[in-house]
Amino acid sequence: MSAELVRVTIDEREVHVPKGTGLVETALVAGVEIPVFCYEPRLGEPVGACRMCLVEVDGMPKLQAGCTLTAQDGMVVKTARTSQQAAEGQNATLEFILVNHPLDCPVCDKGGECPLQDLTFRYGPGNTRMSFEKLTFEKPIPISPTISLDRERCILCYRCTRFSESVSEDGQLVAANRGAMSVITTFEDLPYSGAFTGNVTELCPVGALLPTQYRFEGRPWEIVDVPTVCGLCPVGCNIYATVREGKVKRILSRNHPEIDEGWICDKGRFAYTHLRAEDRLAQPLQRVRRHGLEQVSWEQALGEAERLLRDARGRVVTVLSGSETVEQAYALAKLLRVGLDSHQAMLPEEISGSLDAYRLPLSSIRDADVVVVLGDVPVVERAPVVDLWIKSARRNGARILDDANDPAVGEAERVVLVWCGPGGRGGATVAKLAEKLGLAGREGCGAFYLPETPNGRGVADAWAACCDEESEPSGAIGLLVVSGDEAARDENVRALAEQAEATIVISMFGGLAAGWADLVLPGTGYLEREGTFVNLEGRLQRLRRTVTPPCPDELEWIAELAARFGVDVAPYAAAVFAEVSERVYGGLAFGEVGERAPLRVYPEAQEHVARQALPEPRAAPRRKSQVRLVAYRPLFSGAAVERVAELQFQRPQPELELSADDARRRKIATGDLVTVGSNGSAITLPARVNRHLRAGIARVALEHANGLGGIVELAKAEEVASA
Amino acid sequence: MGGSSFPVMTPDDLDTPLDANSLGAKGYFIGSGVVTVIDERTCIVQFALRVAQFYMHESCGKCTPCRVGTRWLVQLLRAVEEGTARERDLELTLDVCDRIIGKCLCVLGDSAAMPVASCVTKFRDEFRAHVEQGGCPFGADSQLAGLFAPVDQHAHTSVAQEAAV
Ligand code: SF4
Ligand code: SF4
Ligand code: SF4
Ligand code: FES
Repeated sequence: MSAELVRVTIDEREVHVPKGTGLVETALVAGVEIPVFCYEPRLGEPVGACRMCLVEVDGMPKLQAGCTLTAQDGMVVKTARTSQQAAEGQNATLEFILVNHPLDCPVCDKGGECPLQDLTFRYGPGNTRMSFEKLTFEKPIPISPTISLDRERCILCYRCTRFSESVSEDGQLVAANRGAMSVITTFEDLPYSGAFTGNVTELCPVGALLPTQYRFEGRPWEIVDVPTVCGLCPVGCNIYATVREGKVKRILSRNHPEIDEGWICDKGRFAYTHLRAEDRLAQPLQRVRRHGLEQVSWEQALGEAERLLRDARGRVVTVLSGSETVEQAYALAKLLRVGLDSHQAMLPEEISGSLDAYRLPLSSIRDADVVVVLGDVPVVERAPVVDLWIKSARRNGARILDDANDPAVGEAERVVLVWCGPGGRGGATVAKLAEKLGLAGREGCGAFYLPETPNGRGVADAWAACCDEESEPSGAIGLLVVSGDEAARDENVRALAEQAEATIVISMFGGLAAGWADLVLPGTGYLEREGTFVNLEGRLQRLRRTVTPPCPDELEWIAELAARFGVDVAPYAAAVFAEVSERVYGGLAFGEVGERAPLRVYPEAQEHVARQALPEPRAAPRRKSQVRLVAYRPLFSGAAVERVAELQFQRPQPELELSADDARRRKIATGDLVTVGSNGSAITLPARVNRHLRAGIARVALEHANGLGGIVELAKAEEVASA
Repeated sequence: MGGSSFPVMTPDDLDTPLDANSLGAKGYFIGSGVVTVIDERTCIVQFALRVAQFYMHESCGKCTPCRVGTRWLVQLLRAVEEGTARERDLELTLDVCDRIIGKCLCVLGDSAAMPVASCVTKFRDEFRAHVEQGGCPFGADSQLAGLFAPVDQHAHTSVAQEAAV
């Protein structure tokens, strides 16, 4: 707030802005546009490459690239509106850009939302003076299954390469050759892979980098961008769903500066086609023979559900996925707890209210002096955008540590703790650590716990808010109600179903329920629901129904079923939310949650909700030959990702990550085959030495773990063979 | 005068003292101090083309006017030399130079455009002769015929150059 204000004159309009404000932003304050292509402050220092932003500045002999200047006191700037010279300069830039640009607009997916079209219209030449052959390239080139590159349309603004170098820090997108032959390419021509690649399709100011899934799928005048929130991980990035004719065609970021800064991960961006997966359910299925499911009408399905619920006589156990909205979880809780006196649930997550004293917006990680990342699961796999915030903290000079006892923690002013992995007790562990370090109430200090599910907190809130009663575990399970795809694909849940007299599964996909459910009720996806989610910051956010699902909304039939048990559940999210909000969210109205929701504090929230008794797996390895194996759920996994062909190349390699220390002691190098095992079961995988991993920890993606986890023996493969 | 990146001088300028101020007063530069002498047996279009080719090759490609403009200049000058250019292409060449000068990220663009622009301006008749005769009046007799810009002798770039122009 105390930044010195300076006076700047832009096109004869005087404005006062803090010293050092970018000239482009200063001009905006004056209501003046300085057109840009390469300028993008989120990518770091300006590069001044495209020359679109040329302006005249008093006292400077030549035109200046406005994007590279900052506001200084007394500065007098003229843009193309008032300076003939600047207008000529911008016209020249556009003429040059268009010299080799193809006449692709009619077939270019960017057409209609293309800055090059817009700026050419406003500042550019009306015709071309280029009469020679244009540069041509083979096109479009798939740089990955999800992104294609058209080098003819590329204007070499270097936004994509700068993103790759200094935001996602993957270094895979690079410029090759020089001069007129400069092109964008991937390192060694390998597919552009990683958690964040899709962001370059939004950064690219032309139709050079485009999502393959959106190719020829829509025109700006046929689409609506519906604001909502991503429901695939606990970050809760703000997004737009581009909708055409009732179908989601594309996902775009919707920049919430405190949560995502406009970056989203590739799962959130490209997984939306799971909504149209082949095994997507529209009609309920009922078991007719021993293993056969048959489509039935909703009327019959609800009749059957009612019968199963009654027959269970209160011995219903509910398994929740953590991908339900607060409202769905509450409605289900009301039906089962109030209506059937069945209080037993397997909640998706353990959550801890003790973390509330250390809440911060995610963006504050960027300003930290020290970030301590604990828990041994890669942050990017669980909450991708948090990884970007940690990277930006590191670029800003913060130290990233994996040990809270490091002396640097005590010396630092702004300390942020992040827990990502098993043993966090829903955040209680990290909250205790924060307390020990005295972080409470200190500016810029706080703690995050990264849950495994997108809305585990909200679901727990809702389940608990519904009623206070509890019931003793009754031994036999009369009916198992499995809510959501994550629960439905969980091996443990399926094992539980073996013990149940009957099972109802609520799932989007037939493939997940076949063989073990007695009744399958079709579910909706996060892009098809009205409702709210609570993200990992504890921020309540609003989901919108961007398209109509192929089946009725859960709330609709839960309400109907509840009525049969004399329970009043409203079929509308707003009304259900009002009830939950009374109890948990301070009476906040549905309409007040907000399009870009603020981080609020809810003193009525639960103190602590345990999932089940979780083992404490943090005991140190016992013998030298042993390590603790962390089998993590990779970002590119789960029911949605499995149904998107374009994302399969992103799935984790079968490999075992080792710390440098453990590798050295066993003379293991990256690429060597290693075997880990315990209790007679073992897996052999190529090793990858990761110097950021703590000694005594080995890491593998869950799908390659073959059920292994915890303390295991580790050895080079041939030693095992020869022994 | 001053190396290949500055405007050319004509016999009219012969009496200019060889110091920065005197040259500067007339719009010239001392630059590296190099003096290249070209006599009337040399085709000035060929000279301008080779200068432009050199800078096209040298361009890093980062900023738009230099990356695109140097290539366009080469195309224009080659057309003049080959006799496929029209009168208005001479104006266009000057305009392209004007649109490069002072608008790039570094001075390399200026270095290409200044000598080329000065050739067109000061040897307008020779350029026009190319246009009117549909080709080079000197042909193989020019001192530069068969001599290429250093870049065209680089084995590693000739393919790229072919593709680029
Ligand atoms: S990038 Fe823009 S200007 Fe270029 S072809 Fe596509 S729509 Fe047209
Ligand atoms: S591909 Fe797009 S973002 Fe990358 S340099 Fe070209 S125009 Fe810029
Ligand atoms: S980071 Fe999480 S919330 Fe954001 S887009 Fe990816 S999956 Fe969705
Ligand atoms: S926007 Fe300023 S040079 Fe590109």
